[in-house]
Amino acid sequence: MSYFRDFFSYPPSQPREAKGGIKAYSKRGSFADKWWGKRWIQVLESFSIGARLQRGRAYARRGQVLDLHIDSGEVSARVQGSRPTPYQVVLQLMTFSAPEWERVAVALSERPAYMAKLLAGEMPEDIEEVFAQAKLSLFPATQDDLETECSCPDWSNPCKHIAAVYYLLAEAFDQDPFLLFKLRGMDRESLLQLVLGAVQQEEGESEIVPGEPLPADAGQFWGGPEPGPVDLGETTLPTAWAVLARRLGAFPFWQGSSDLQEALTVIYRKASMAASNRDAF
Amino acid sequence: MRSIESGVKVSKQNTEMACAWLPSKGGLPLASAPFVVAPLETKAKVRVTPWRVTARRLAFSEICDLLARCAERPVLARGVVAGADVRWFAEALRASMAFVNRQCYLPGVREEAGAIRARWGLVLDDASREHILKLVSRMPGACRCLSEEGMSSPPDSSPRAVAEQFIADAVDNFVREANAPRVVGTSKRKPSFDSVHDAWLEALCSPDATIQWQDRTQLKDLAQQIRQWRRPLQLSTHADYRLVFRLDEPRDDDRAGSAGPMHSWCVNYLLQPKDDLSLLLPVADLWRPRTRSARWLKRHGGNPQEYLLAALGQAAGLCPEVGDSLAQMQPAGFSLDTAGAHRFLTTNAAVLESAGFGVLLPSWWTRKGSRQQLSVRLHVNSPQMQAAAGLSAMTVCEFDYKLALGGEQLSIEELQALAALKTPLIKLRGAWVELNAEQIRAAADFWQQHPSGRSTVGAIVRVALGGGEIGGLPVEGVQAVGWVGDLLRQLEGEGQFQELASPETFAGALRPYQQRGYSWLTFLRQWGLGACLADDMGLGKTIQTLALLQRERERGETRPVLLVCPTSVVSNWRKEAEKFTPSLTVLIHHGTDRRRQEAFRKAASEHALVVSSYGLLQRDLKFLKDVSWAGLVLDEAQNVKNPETKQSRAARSLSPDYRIALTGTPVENHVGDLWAIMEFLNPGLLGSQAEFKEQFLKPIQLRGVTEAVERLKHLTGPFVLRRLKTDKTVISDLPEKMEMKTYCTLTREQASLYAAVLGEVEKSLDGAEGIQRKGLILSTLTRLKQICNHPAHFLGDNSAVDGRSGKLSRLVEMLEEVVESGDRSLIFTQYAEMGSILQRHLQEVFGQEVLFLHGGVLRKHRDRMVERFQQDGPAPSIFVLSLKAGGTGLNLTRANQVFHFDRWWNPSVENQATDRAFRIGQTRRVQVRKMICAGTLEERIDELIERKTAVAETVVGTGEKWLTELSNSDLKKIIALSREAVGDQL
Repeated sequence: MSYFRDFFSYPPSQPREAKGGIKAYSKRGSFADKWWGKRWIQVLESFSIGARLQRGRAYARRGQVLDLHIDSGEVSARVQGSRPTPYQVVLQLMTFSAPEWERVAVALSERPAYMAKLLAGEMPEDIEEVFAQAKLSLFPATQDDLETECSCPDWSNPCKHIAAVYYLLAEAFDQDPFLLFKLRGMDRESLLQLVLGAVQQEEGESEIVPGEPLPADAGQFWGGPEPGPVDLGETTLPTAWAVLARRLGAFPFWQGSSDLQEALTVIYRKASMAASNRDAF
Repeated sequence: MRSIESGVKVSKQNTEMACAWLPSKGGLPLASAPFVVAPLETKAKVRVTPWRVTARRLAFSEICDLLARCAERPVLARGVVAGADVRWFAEALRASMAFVNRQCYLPGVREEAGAIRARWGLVLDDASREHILKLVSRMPGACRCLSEEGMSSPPDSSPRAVAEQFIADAVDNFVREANAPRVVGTSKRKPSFDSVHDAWLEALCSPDATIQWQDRTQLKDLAQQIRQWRRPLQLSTHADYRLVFRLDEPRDDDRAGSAGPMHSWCVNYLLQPKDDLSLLLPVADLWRPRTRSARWLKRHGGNPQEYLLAALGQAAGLCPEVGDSLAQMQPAGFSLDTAGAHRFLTTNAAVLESAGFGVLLPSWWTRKGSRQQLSVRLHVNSPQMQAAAGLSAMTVCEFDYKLALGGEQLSIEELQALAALKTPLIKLRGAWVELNAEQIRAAADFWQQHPSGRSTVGAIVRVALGGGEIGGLPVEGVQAVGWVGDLLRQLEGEGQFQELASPETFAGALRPYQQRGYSWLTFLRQWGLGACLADDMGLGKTIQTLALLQRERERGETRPVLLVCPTSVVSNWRKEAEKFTPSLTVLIHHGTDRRRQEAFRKAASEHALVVSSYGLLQRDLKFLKDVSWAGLVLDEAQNVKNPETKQSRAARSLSPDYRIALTGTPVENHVGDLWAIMEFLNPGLLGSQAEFKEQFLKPIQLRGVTEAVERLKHLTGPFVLRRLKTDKTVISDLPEKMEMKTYCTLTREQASLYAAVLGEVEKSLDGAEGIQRKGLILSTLTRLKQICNHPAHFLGDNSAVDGRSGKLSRLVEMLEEVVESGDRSLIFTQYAEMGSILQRHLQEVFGQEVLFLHGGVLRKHRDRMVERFQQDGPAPSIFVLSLKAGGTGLNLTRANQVFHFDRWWNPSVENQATDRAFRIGQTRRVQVRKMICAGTLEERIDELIERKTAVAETVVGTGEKWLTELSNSDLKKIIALSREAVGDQL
């Protein structure tokens, strides 16, 4: 009876359908376009975990990863597997100490073009040299650098859940190379401050403007006849939509059921149409 | 509460108490305008103090509606005037809409009162920032005077903060409401979402921006993700530079005349320092430290590389070629083949530009109109003929046409050869043009099937003036020989039209500019084209029109002309016709006893001119239609500016040989009103109403497209003649002082009051003797004059003012033109009571302060009024005076319009009054109007004085006393009420 014969061979378990998970931007083929994203994946692939890699990719694409947090030295995520309760995945990477980062900053400040490339969202190709100069390795060099854990019953580590998280991370790094530094214990602002000595202004809806008392003069208070409408110049009807959003690129760890850019295109178009179709003032 | 006029419903339930901090003194807030409350006379110091006010919170849609109404006109209704603060918000809303249109916003969240809500945030580029600063500089303090109740100090948020807040709120609300699902009946069920991102997207499209998501940590994460996502933009908005993409065409030594070599186009990257926009530094140079640009940057302490690479990184997402160029160590641009250049021109450029980058394109692409790739040139061959020979705009003539590309006329073979090239851009005889092979093929086919066509001259005129198209292609030019060519040249103002002598039987002399106007009317009339005579008030639109009618009669016209005007000017037309064209028989068609149906048709055919009102045009349309009209004239044609009204439809439904519209309001300032007037004059010229809205109204009013303004001007120009009294060619023809009489009509109420007083007097007059008779006559004269002024003046009962006096309506109509043209006016009345009625009413109508000087005003106040009226810049523009002798010694030379609302019947007194304006220091022409109710004692006494009868020179000079010397029967004749005095009230 086959029943007995197959006793030790589990049929591959089917994960439960996950809703609202993070969907990988990559739809087929390899993950990550940029060299550093690929480099990150190489680390995973060097663990030779066989078919789990492929299943991890499929998980990442289907949105089985419910959420993902990148903190200093640690990535935590919840992955929907075949059991009702999602599995907890934790990745830990050795962080660099303050003096170590100090050394990286010195090396970086000697090469201004590197910083510029980073700001443009590009990891300089020979960034590893910079770290090597500081006697460090940006990517996990040995298996000891990286500790992974998953609450699933699979004995293999990394399992497919860890792999899925790993792939998503590669995409996130593609988008924002600073995340890789963050994982190593240095966030973007601190690094900029360390290298450029500059503090980047945090975004707000408007700058803080000093107050101004109300005028007591009746003319200034009530206002007189104005000098006609403010000339707003010619407004041409847009021919492309949601351009600012497109300029910004992919949203980090998008979990929405529809594509953000597509959704925004519809919204911007509707708004512009409504604004230009108001009955003439 | 005037809740109805403002469109906002107010009740106890939807209001609350708030605190308004207003400049106050002596325990009272300072009035927002002098006509609200007269300024208080105290030496007390002005302080900003809190006042409890009833307030009503407005929903965003209510704000939009209200502000849209204010933007149109500050006077919402009689006595309801939008203040400068409300008008400021209307301007700010207009700016917000422009920002929405330009897509200057990004989705985000906002934390308020502990909750995280979806929010569209403004992303300002330099241009929008500048607009906001312009707005800020004009913000009245009142825009930021409200605070919650119980605050101890006045609000001190800066104008800029208030402006940015309002605009940001408006954009946020507008985008959400424009995207809100239109569902009828809301379901109570809370929507459930799979992820916080879905909930966020939904909240960004809902009127209520609440994100339906429970997990606060995840909401916080969302905020963090949004910050991270938006960060790249942060970098570029704070940069000192802007990245500019310039498309350079292949150099001349490249092979021309064909698709061009591969990779001959180039997009070069340039940096533009924000503090010196004239500088464009080639990025290629920046990589080389020894170039001028690099040295310049070094001198200015700039290190743009960081910005540059970040910006290029962002641009890479919008234009793939930019991304490819980043593979180079020192990216400075990229090259394109012709197809790529075309793609860049048609798509990438706009995308990069709206994302905030600079884009410079070759001028042949950006120049307006030259991008019309393919156009039609029309050729019309017509014989040499004179207009009079039975030709009109309705005449059909033949035409053929040629196709042109980028201004070059091409044969079919050439076009087909080009279409086969399969390249979107070609260099044609030295200039680049866009090539749309499919369109060319379609046009060539169409051309082969219809090499020529037939059309009315009217339709040819329209395309020649830049309206309409042929076979779906724009018409670039019309070449015409023969009479059609003559007509087109004359319409475009190239050929001189014949200047005509005044009609033989015309009584009176036309001034030179009137001669030209009359000739122009005649020219268009001969072609059956409609004319809009829009001369300034006082330049004699009536007389020019009458001259045309007279000429038509002299040349054998036997059919009548229908003239439609507001009731208040019916009498004026009769009087003017009597004066200038006594041989024209005039039928006044109004009043309850007017002729109808067959009787009217018969009477009309026996007259040269039928004068009627807008009300009757619509009411009697059925039988007005049965008459064969030679022409239809609309006086005060702004009455048909709304194409939907019944009178507007009625005017369009008649089919006379020719049509004329008269108006004194500058039609070009009211684009929205133009369609209906032009549709009446020249149906089809501006296309359908919807086409007009799309092609002209929206581009001009919402987007300020100057090219559309020009196109509209070109299209309508030949049919509109507007001369200002300040025009050089006109001013030399005008006397320094023009005295005119304006005849008005009584309302039915005025007429019945008048008749009642007459009846009373007739009885008592016969028995009266001596001093008693004298007193009776004088008081009767006063009462009748009061009735002619206004029933409320006569009754003295403080009753409503609107719509009860023909004279007042006429005054308001004339003042509308005066106020719009920026002139200042004096209005004289004998009676202080009437003066105060005028002041109150005119303030309500025009929403501005009206000065009123009467005997009771203190000297220092009088001096202040005069000073304010005389000052340059914003000042009260209407001054009502009721003073014996009009306040001798007053210098009111800023006025160039003088109205005598009622009469002293004493020319020297009236002249003294007039001379307040017409005296040394007056630099403009002064128009003086004496207002007279036709068919009443006002008209007859005026005639007596004019005729200078025995009594005139000596006796009349003393005022009204001489009237008491007249016999009872003479007196009764003078004060009688004629039939034509009464206007038809609607």
